Amino acid sequence: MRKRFALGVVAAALAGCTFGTSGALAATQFGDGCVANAAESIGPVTLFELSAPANPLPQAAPVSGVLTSWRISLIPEVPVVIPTTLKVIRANPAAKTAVVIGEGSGNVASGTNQFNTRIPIQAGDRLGISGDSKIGALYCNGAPPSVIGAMLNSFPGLGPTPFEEESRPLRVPIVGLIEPDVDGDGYGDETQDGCPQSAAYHTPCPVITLDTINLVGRKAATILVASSLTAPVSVSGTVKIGKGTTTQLKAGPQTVAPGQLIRFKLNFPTALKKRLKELKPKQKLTLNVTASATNITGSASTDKSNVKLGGQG
Amino acid sequence: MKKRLCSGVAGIALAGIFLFAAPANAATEFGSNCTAEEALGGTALVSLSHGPTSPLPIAAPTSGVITRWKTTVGFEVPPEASAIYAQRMQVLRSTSLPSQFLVVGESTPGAISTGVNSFPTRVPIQAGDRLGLRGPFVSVYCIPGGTADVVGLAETEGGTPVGSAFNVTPVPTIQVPLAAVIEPDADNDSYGDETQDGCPQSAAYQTPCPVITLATFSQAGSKAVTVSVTTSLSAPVTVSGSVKLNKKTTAKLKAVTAGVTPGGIGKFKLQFPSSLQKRLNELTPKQKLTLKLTASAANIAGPASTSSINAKLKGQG
Repeated sequence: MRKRFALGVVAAALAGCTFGTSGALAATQFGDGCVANAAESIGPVTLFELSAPANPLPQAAPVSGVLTSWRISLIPEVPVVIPTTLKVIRANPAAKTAVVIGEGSGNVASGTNQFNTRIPIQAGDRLGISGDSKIGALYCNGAPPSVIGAMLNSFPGLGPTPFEEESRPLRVPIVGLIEPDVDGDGYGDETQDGCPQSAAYHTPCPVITLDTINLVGRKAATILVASSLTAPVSVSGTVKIGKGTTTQLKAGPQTVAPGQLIRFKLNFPTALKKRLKELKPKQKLTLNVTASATNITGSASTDKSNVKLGGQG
Repeated sequence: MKKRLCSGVAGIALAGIFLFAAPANAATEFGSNCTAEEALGGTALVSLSHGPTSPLPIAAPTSGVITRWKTTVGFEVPPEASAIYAQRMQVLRSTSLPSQFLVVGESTPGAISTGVNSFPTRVPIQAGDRLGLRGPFVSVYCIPGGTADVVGLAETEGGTPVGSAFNVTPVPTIQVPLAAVIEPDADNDSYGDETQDGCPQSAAYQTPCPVITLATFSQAGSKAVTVSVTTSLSAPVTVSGSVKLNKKTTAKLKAVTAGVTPGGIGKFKLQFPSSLQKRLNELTPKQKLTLKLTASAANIAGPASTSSINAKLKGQG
């Protein structure tokens, strides 16, 4: 029942196989960078490599993360584009079953074809290939034999599907690029996730905005704080009380949520109270107030303001 | 080239046709609830017309989002062949060419077993669009047998991805066994308003519409009161106030409206009207009036959020 469709140089040597170079970032390549030179329609089947001695890349994902792109190279002068489906496969070799956990599709032409995707992947997952019923699945034809898994085409959500192991002189010509996904949000940290520190954001991490109202009493200043994001906020203050001396005031931290005005009380230290009593009401000291909060990335947001403290003498 | 892959119970009576219960809300069903009896490889199918045995509209009667589709299979599908018989719903739009359809949306493939196969989905649709069925390998169909039952059939070995167009050949006596439920999509966010969109009033939210939280603080002066307001969402805020001058008379302060953003504190200065100013001048500093202040912001849905505070106004006489 197998129908083999020549692509011009079906028997081409695999000397021209290109292999991906390791990326400068932490992205990881796996799969097989051989150049496809044949296609075979053997029915609705997905092929994946279990082992391939001639393939220098890992056949299985060496790390978990997100598959952010996949690529296929095809020999020159193939006059048609070949619809191809990538299948990310989680195989259970002991049970000889596999689950398709994600898929992508693209039309493959001569040369290198790269397709972007976003498929969460686990270490050990493999890349499978299937084609349409007309041309079939692309592969690299040549010795030495590889151990190939062949399974009836499946798709995400179907569950375990049996596969067969075959020793065949072919390789599966797909290379995948895995990026880390520290926050586990399903977006690759290097090219897809604007805020790898938080699963709540894929756009750039939001920056906290703070605003304050300062109210002065005789023994303390009350600072009302508003925040654009829920965050622990600390409030501090400094007052120059003369003769090169600065006194420090501190309150917090307290959690402030958007839509709240939270009160922070900065009690006057003894030195400040003493100095205020030495001053006439028309004489004033300046209290510099700083409210600060730290956002997801660890960068601090601050709001600075000042308020006059009248003498109490 | 047509390969009939499975006939199962060809000729089966349509007694098993399953009809959706009439919806209690505005969801709309269209397509056909006929039972698939056979399958065909390498083809895309689209409903062109229905005979009297299919009471549902053949084309989408309204625009919205398809939230569920269903196909009923009458023939025997072995469990291991579920993937082979997997079906994908496609939304097809007529083009200027009479026999051509454009694929404008599709579901993910659903594994098929014998009986009713119902799948949740989220595919936008326009009134007049038609339903197509195309499995990765085969497409199932039913055979009501009426001359008014016509399916457009396209032999498309290379697939019919979204954005592609294909020409069909009318084939009488068969139907596409596919029914779909359309829900309205008032905010055009491609989520069905009844089961998928928690906030049908805003395309920015699919979870329940957020409710604005307000916090206020007031500082009264001799001629005006300043109300500081912060909000949990960016919104125009209106601050108003009223004071009972005596048992019969209430003075209202002219409301002020301004935008407030989260993390910011908006300051609203409400001037005392002359009647209030006059009354304050009549009172001694120990005598006080109560100024009731209300900050309010409209929500996307539901009643406005408000925050009310009282401020004591000392006599100025």
